[in-house]
Amino acid sequence: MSTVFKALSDPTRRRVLELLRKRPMSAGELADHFNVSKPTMSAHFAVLREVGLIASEKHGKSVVYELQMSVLEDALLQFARAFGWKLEHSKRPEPKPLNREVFNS
Amino acid sequence: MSTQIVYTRAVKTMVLGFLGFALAAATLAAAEKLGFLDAAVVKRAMGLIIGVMIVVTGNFLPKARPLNAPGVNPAGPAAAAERFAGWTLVLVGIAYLVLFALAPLDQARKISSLLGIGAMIYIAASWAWMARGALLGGREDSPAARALAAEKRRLIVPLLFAFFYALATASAVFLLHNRHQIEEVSWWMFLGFWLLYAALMVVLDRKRCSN
Repeated sequence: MSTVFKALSDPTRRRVLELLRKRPMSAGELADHFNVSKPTMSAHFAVLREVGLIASEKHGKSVVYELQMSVLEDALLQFARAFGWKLEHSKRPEPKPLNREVFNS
Repeated sequence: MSTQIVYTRAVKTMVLGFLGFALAAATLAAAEKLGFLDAAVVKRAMGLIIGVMIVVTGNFLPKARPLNAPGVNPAGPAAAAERFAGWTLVLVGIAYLVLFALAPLDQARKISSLLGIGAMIYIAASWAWMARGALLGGREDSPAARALAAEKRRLIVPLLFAFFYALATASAVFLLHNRHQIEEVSWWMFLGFWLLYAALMVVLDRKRCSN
């Protein structure tokens, strides 16, 4: 559970989860919503995938992400939203960028 | 961590939950028969166990993605329907726990039955609406995606069938008061479970072979 808290503690990752609530999206589509480098976004995706909050599937050359949260994890995300974890830029250091993600959308 | 591992973990938790439920129910029934526990205590404990089972199943339902089948289109609303079903079950499970912990037994049995039946009807209706995409052609998936979805269905559909059948049985039994009636209904529900389960497995195997 602590890994889930860690994953939800970052505003970018929470924003990714909120975007995926609407519909599954490709890595490129998701990255377009943020002003950060694509390798950094890849690292965020990797963290979310690692704790099982999102699932990825390869569609041709692009990677499509979809939400895979339990009700408890969903409640934690809502709790984070409701109690002041605003979706602002974090002061924490960004995760180490990855270069292996495919961003074709 | 791959999608498959995360998915398997959710299914494993649900299977363990069911085994725990079956073991606890059998232990309580045996304790009542042997005279170790009062009938009212056993009924209350059964209600609490069912409440826990509903909460656990509801919690993992959106992770197990039962509607993630080839042809279910579009994927976003299907995931939303699964999430809503999960939330509904968790809230109904919590209501079960509160009712069987605090309310008079007769009222707890009646209200919980109605809640359980209402939740099942609602979830069945919303999922049938979502699954119509599969019947109407819907989304085109790759053969690999279809095969993976068929494998997933083989795991999750029997589990969900067992869960909803157990909930339906509990709801029916909780509405009855006569011991003879309860035993008769329980017996028929038990027999019906294995017949329907066998039919379900045949259908799933046929679908898997056709993919």
